[in-house]
Amino acid sequence: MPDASGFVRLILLLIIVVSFPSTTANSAEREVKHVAMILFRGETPAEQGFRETLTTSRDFDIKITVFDANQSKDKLKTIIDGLDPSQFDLFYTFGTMASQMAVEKIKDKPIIFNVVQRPVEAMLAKSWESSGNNATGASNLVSMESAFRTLSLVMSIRKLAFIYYEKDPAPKYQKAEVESVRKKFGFKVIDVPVRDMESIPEALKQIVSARVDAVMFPADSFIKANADGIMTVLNQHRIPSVVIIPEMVKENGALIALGPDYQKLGELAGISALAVLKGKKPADIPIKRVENLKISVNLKTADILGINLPIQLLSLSTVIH
Amino acid sequence: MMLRGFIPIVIIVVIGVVIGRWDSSRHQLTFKKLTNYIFLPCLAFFAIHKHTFDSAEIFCIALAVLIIIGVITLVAVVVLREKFRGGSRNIPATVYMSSGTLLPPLAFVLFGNAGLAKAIYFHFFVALAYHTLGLWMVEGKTDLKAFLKNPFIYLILLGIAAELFPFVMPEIVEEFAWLAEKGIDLTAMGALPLLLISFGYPLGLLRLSDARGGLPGGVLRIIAGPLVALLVVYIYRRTGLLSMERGYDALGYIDHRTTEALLVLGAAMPTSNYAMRLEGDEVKAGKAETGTLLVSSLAGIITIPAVLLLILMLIFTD
Repeated sequence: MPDASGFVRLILLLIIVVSFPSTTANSAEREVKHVAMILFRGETPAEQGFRETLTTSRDFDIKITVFDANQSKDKLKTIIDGLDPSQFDLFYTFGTMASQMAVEKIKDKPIIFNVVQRPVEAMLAKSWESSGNNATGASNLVSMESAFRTLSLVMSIRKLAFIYYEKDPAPKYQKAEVESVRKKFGFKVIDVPVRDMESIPEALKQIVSARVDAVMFPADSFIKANADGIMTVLNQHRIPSVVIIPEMVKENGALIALGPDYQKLGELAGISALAVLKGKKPADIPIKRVENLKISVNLKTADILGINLPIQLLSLSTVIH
Repeated sequence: MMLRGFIPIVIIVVIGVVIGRWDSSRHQLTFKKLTNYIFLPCLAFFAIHKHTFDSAEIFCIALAVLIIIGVITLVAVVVLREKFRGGSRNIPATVYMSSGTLLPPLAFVLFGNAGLAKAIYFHFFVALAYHTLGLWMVEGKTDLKAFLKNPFIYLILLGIAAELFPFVMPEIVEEFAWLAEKGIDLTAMGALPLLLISFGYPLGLLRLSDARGGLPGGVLRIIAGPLVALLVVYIYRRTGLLSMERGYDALGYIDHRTTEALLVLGAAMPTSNYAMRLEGDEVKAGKAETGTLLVSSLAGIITIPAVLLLILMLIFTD
């Protein structure tokens, strides 16, 4: 008579034997699809959400090839120029700049763009409902009114500096959004464009001397890449930082993020990608937006700045200690 | 997080107790006048003019104050075996909470300016109830004149007007207006510790032996208040007065939860020393009233954090 452990081993063996052919059969049934991921500043939670959504597909075995420009506009151009669209079934692009370049170059393959704040103004789509071309995707547009109403729980702003990379088109749309609520919330916007890395110290000098109440960081990859140094100076001068990219709160020590959940954005882009791979035309898929504003706060930064974060805000926020 | 806000407040109140004991009420009247005529009005303006005016919110707070005070008054009359009219001052001591001293700083530290603005409205209605129902029960007549003499009422109205009708000023005038506003803001921030000290000050004049007479009133004040407020919150949620719906930015939702938290916190405050009229160098209150103040204040050190925990669990946790 077999003992108990032998019996368990026997059951396990049976399970493995039975499940092996079914899994191999499953992967054999799934159609292989090749996706090119064109990124400007490496993978973010948006790409994580995109990948996770694609892996849930029962119809496709998705193979993703990543092309990272490593924050170089020239490298991005080289990547897109060098791509052979016939080798891929779908293109995923991150950010306005990469998406614009891709839409210009790739005409016969579907493009799923992500983290593009204003796809219509960026000429990526004719409208939010239908792009009218081979692209669709997800937008990181946030309601500035909601953002500033949330911000009013934490601080009162009279002068707001808006720092952005002047060569990137996306922050300009965000600045226009901020300007549109300026009167309602009674603050002035101090424009702080940055040309390159060398001009950042000068921009910071301008912010400090203007005695601003807070600095706003748009969803700007260049500024994100240089955020560590900028945040250090701002925190030293006790100037609060308000960001759109949630990771900046954890990674760069920004005080508060009022933006979309990048993971969710990736999931939305992934849903559109799967629909396209199943045969739907990109132009028939509306551009998606996240439903809720994601609030992230950094308690350590709040302590440095001497800012008291109210409990009701903390209860709805991702809190970084 | 809540204790991070509560502990500094206890420390400042203790400083007030020490000052009261050391000063022996010599400067209590000056202190009170400074608070009532300068600092509290500035605080009211500071909070209200930065807070979006919402008549529904004011209605919710007014109705809640009416229910809380009404129910506790009835319970107090029964428990303390007092007459409904012509009873002792222990009735207002049991019913009326320190909404004008302890609540605003606590609300500001915990819930920011939104909490402070709601606390100011809460105090407005408590003070109104005291000068009408409270005084009528004790003295047989209301004293609206004294209520209307309080400048903080007019600063609340001014704050509402400034929020509702913002006018565009020329840039130079705007700079001066900004300076004036900064001055008011600074005074308002100064009001917070001062209010706490003015709460602690009369406690320094009391003796621990007074506590015995105030046991029923003090316990009733500190326990019945939050229980009735929680009931009000439940009714508000059921009737949709404070709906649980979330919007895109969830701010409406947050605001409703903040109102609920403020109502529960406000109702959990210890006895108001204003209700007892501890003025100048003469303690006008009797032993039962001072005992109620002492018991509710001492018990508050434990019950207020417990109420804060309840708020966190029942209101701010999904």
